[in-house]
Amino acid sequence: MTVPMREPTFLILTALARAPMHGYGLITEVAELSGGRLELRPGTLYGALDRLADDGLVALDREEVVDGRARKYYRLTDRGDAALRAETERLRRNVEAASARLAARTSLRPVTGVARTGLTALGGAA
Amino acid sequence: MTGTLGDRYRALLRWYPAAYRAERGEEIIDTYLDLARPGQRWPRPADVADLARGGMRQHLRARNALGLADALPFAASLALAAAAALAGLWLVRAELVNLPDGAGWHSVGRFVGLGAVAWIVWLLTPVAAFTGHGRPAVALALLVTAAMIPAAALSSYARPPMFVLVPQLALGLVALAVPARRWSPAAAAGFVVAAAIAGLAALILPADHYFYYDYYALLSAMPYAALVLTLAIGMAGVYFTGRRDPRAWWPALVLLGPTLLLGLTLPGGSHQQYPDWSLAVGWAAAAALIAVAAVPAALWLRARRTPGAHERCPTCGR
Repeated sequence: MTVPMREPTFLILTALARAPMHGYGLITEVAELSGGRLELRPGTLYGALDRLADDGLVALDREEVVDGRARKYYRLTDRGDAALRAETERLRRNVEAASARLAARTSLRPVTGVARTGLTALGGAA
Repeated sequence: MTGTLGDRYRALLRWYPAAYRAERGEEIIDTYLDLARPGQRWPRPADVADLARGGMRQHLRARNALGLADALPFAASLALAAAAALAGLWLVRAELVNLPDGAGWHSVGRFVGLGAVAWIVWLLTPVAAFTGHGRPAVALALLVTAAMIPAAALSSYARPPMFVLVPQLALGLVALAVPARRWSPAAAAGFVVAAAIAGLAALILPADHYFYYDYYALLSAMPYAALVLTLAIGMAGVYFTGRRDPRAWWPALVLLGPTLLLGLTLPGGSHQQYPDWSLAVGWAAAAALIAVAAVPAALWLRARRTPGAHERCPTCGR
């Protein structure tokens, strides 16, 4: 049995699924993927990258010098690819189950909806 | 300007292990500088906290003990549930009794003593935690609990006995690591169970209102609280280990001190439900010493079991 991924881990792996990225790029990409809700800080990001590397999910891809600064790019490994696919599948099943329940709930709603509308209309008239 | 900011970030990197700092330090600083606002001269408070947390995690990682950091929020939630459950018990069974004529202190409203104030604050902490304000609420509860000791000494109001206050303070110190985010349904279920146990205890514990201050008649409940906490830790340990969760048995280490202090009344004699003062002080000192020494001992053992496992930085390319 494996532990479900935490959201930052999931988003870091998702960001790396498209192409290898450096630390600053990963932070901006994760912020974009989460709709601005998750702002990783460098201390947290590199800690997470080390942990993912310990687990064999990411690896150093290459090093480039940009504006006099050495930038390291990280990539998803085959194992990271498999872990991300498995977690995506788990989340997809959850979303499907929730969607089915919500659809069933919606089909039961019209009666309640009419009653509420009626009450609201009466309240508005009063 | 940027050089100065870089130097200030570099100074904060001293919290990291030297070997890691040498390999990864400049990369972390460069990323902070990329994220800096124009004209920024000092690291932001959130950056300081981020580097302090990151440094601590790297020290643990170097000892193959990252599970300890992961276990803190869970252990804190457990400690908060225990602290709130005990607060409910004390408030209902010890503070809501009628103060007899001739008692040597003043009552606090319809409560017997100052303890009621602290217990009410403790009972509000889970509510605050559910809305994402757990840490300041726990800090306030700790402050109020500790403040009762000098307040009672300087006034004619009574406070709960130290047998009750010391374990509560220990639980509160662990509870300070309660997650800042809103809680999960699992955590809410844990609190419901804790409240149910406290409610049951309030119903079945023997009433002895001949005592002016009912705490002493209820001290026998504390070892049971330690037992319930131990069972919860044990079940979590088995669950985490079965799921290969890195938290494994680390919550047991974090909660060792509060659990031992809940057993503070165990050495009590047959004629009373609490030990002599010197015995109690000895027990509390031994509990604190064991709890504090257990952390470095566990880390040392972990590091010995996996020598050299994390001496290098895996994503640094060396």
